[in-house]
Amino acid sequence: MGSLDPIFYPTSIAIAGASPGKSGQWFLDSIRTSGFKGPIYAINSKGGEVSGLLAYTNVKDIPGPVDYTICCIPAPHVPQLVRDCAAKGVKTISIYTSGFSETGTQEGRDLEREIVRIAQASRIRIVGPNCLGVYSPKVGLSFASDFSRRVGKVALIGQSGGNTSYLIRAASQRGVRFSKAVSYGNACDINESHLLEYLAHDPETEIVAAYIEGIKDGERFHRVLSRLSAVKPVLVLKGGYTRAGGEIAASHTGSLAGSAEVWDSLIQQSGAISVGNLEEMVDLLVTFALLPLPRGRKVGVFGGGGGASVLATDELTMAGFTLPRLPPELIKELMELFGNTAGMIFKNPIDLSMVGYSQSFYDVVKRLLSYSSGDSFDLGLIHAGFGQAAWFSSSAFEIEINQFRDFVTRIHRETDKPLALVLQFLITNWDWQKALDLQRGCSEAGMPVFHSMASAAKAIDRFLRYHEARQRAGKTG
Amino acid sequence: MTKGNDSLDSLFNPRSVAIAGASPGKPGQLFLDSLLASGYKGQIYAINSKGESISGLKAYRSLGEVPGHVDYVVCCIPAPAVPQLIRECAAKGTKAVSVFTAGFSESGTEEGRRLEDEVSRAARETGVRVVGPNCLGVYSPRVGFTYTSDFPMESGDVAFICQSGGNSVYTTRAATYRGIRFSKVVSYGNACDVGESDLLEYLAGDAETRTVAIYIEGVRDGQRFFQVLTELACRKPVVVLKGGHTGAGAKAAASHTGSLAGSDQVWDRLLQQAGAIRVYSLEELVDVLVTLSLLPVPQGRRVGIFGGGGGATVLGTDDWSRHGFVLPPLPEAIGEEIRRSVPTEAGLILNNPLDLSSFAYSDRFYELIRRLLIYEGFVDLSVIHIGFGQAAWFSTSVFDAEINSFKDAVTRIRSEAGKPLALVMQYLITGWDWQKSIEDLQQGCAAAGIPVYYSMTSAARAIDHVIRYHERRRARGFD
Repeated sequence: MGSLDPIFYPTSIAIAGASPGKSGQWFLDSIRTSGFKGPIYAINSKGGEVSGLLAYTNVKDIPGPVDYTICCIPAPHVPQLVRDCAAKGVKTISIYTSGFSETGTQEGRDLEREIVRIAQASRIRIVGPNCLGVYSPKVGLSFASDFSRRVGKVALIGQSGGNTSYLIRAASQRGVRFSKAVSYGNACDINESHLLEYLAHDPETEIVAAYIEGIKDGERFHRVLSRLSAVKPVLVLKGGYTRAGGEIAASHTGSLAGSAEVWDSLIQQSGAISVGNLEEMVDLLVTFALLPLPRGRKVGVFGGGGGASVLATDELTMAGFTLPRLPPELIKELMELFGNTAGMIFKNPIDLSMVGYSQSFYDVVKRLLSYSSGDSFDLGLIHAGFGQAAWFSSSAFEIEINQFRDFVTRIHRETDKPLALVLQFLITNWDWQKALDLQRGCSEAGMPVFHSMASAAKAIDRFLRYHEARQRAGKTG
Repeated sequence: MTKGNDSLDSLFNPRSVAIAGASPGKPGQLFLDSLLASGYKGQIYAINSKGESISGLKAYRSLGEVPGHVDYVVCCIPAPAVPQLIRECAAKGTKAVSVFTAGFSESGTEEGRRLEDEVSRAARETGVRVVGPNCLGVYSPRVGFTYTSDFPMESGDVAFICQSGGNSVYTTRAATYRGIRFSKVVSYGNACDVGESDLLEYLAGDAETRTVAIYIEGVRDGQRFFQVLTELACRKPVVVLKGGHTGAGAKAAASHTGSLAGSDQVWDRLLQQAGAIRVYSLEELVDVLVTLSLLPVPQGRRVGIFGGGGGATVLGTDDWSRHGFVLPPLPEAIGEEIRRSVPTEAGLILNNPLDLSSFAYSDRFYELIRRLLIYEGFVDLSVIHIGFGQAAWFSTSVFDAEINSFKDAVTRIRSEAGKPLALVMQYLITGWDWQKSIEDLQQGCAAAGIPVYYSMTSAARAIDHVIRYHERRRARGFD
């Protein structure tokens, strides 16, 4: 098969089924607000106008060349559209329409087979059906208008449109940027193996994430995944992992899910990283994309109240980290700086709740991170727990939190130690907005941000284990 | 001096409170201001050594100078002066003191331990009950007594005893936000006099408390604790989070509240034998409290899942299956009807889970869920699943209205059908304008007594905890 480049870098796009108030118009509007530079055409069998564009009644009527078509017309008409697109010289058709193999009906399966036959006879490639298609920020192609226009190094392939959208949004918000993402649905032509094979050679992609419900060709998938995993970290979340979930996956994307045991051993053998849920996927993407690799497991935790520090220590210990004690001379230095107040621990975790988010916070953390001895930290975690303090003045908090963001991002910029922020906050009417501002500031500065000590510990542990396993296997990097 | 637990009544129902160490800009003033703002009805007195007025109150130089009776003292004075204050309390007739001051056994110093011994000796000899030191003290909404002004003054039936002040604040706030109200909360710190066992014994007999939550770092007397916990757990559900359950965490706990933590295996066995529910994080603690307080006990493990997009539904099914729930197929008649009425759309799943993303949140949504909920023999538990951040497209202009009608539909269903019903709101924290609507939805549902969870995993785990709790009780012949 040829390169998949055309599906990611189209130069002209047509939307078939671009009727006002329907999904076709939403696709159209999303592309127009995402900065796509090439011509965009609307196709509507009834003609008319949509979003200010005059609609053509057929793809063949479009005067210029069309590279890429998004299909939103009813399933029975899709085969004819594929034929017309092939005749027009369209290279890729991404089919949003559902009603194919995922319905479990003979009619749906037949329709899907038919479009595959047409595609194979011509040279057109199909993404989907039953999918949202491609997000490729480099050319401004997107299926949602709020996705970032900045290009990154993470590629995502997702069999579910909703989960793909969620992952892009959640990871973007935490500072992860994408090279490309594909919601690929029923995978009747382009499937997970094609995509992974392509991504192995994609110079713009350094990390690969996949949400998969079922695979088309297990042997090939295994081969491709192993080859890809040898050169890039691959994070795989399996939807329909349980039997009941697998049955649902069948009616979602027509997938045969396979048993959990087979899946586990396949992932393990191929060297990919198995992920349990969407939140964990985001945590791992944040870690792999933003955190420099820690040299070891000695962690320093800065901040957090007394009880939060006790629980943080439990979480980190369970994930295999150690919290070395501070050397006595350093403790002495800190004691002289701050004195003692209720619940403060001049150990590790270093409870800085009474210091607030002042210059002293910056000074102490800088001092601790730069401290070098046999027991110096491999990794620093700044622990900000909102909702723990009994008293606060919202007006002062407003200022403090901005100060804190400035100090944290400054420390992050100035240190070469791996450093992350754990921002544990209550979702309440007064907390989230400020927490979000803080998160955004840190994420934009390229700092990994996690929402709990448990999730940070788990993700960074997976990161370390991935590299440890590679070292054992004699692979570097 | 008698030290029966009747004396703990004085912790929760003080008619007059004095803050010792109420100096401007210091914790004493923060305690004072919290109390002034909370609507506490009793007398409030400020004490500081300089006698300077504070927060609009005249301050007295010592407890002895206070003209009226003082039931309860909040102590914020330096550690070395605390033992003497306890004796002054006794002289004044004060029954209870909570000591915020730190610098006692948790400091790990000889001096700190000696001071704490003196405090407990003073308590023992005088009969004054001491909470702490190194703690925030008591929140008792019935009388408007609190240590932070944003806790609600509405009472509930959950009691929480917590060895960490910060964790007590976080948990109380988080649970309050999800619709739980407390009978009483105690942050009890180093537990030099009033210990966890005293509190639990008291709560076993407390008519206002139906559920007990515990965050504990270490116990003073393991045998007594086990005995008290077992008796309490026979009568009321008890949820326990053990802080410092790893070796390193235990060391952190020792310097936090001077606790001896004990090994994790010992704790695990102890909690299991006592019949308590063990959780591993504050979030899980809140999830279980939400379940115990707001969800009628499901009579089995058949769950119906309504809402959520295709991919979210696949993962949701995995989550519920992993926790031992089963998803029976939709009743044939209703399934047929739905399939006939829904236009085809990408990835729609029309069974159980039932993907309602095409339904918007109209009257049809309300009618359908209501019918499914009361359908005889279908499910034991219904979960409405609303995922934000999954939809590729949405219109902000209709979103607010849709969320509102969704909220109305869900709360109406809840008020009309007494069946177990939970809402899972899976959302991204984003800067979008419509965050406000999501918040209103969560608040509206929590206020209507609907248990709200933030993910399918956490809902399934918490509800599984509670079902297993009742299964164990049945096996023991308690229920």
